[in-house]
Amino acid sequence: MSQGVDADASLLEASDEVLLRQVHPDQFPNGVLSKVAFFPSPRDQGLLSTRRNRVGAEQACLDWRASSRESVGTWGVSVGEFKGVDVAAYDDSHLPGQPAGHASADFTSYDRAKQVQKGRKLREKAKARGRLFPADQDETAEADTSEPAITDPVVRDRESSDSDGPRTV
Amino acid sequence: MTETLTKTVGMVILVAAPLTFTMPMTRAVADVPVVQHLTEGTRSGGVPTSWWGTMVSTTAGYVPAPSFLIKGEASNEREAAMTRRIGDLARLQDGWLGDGSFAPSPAVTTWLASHAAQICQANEDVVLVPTGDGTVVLEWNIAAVEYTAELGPSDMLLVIDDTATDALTEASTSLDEEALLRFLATGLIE
Repeated sequence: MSQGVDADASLLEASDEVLLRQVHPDQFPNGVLSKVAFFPSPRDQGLLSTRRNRVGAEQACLDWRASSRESVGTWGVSVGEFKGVDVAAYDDSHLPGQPAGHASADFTSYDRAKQVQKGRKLREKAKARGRLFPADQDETAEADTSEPAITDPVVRDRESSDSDGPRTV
Repeated sequence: MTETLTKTVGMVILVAAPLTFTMPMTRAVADVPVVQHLTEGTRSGGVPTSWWGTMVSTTAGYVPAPSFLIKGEASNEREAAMTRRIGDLARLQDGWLGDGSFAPSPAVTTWLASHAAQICQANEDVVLVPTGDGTVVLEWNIAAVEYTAELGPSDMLLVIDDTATDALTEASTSLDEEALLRFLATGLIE
């Protein structure tokens, strides 16, 4: 168990389970998926926040939006792909404030540059899988940054008053 | 006497003419800063304005000034787009990326705004991406290499990630305008 993960968190073993990650419009500049969306911030204590596959790509996105946060959609990285870059994933949904089916990918063993590199590799996996919700219709769908069903431009300028929501997903 | 003088002048011309064409070219090549993306020919790129005079003067008459040295409508548009993007980042509020996340530090966005033109001139492909820590990441790629500069209020992390070999080069320093602009232009960490 890594120092960054709660002692009661359970290691995810099923390599084919796809963990769900929301991507903020500002981390999708010009319709390009940034690696920044796939490595954690120091304020996350080295843990990248995701939802488990059973939550569903659509529900994960709707939950995120319900907290008045923006998302251009849900992307996915499998537990096996995390393992492929030596990052373990844990179910830590028992922690206070976390939504059901929350999972954290543990980057705590790596310095910032390594995290950046792993983020790049995970982004490539997510990109290859394609956006899960709303599903990409074709190759050009990713370039469409004005997704009306997900992005609410009003939210961008809204004062953040939703601090009681889940930490991040 | 006249015949001897003519022969002498002729010899000088014969010897000097080839040098006239070869020496300046050799010197020009030696003086031009090594710009990785120019030598690789993978992108049009840009160089710091402080180098423009060197490049143009040493190569004048032999190598035409690259089109990116001529500041025109396209670069103005890039600069305007960069300024808009920085403005968008500056409008983010704490909590934008979830509970406890920080908006980009005003010190970072102010610095970026005051250097927008130089950043655009140094690298026309760079994109700005905020993190939840108040830093801003500048990222771009050239062929199989990904470049990252993460800027904090007083420090920066520069990363070169070769996606073909996974070779990783990094430097963490205090915020250094010259080093950053050079990194943006050349992809080199000194």
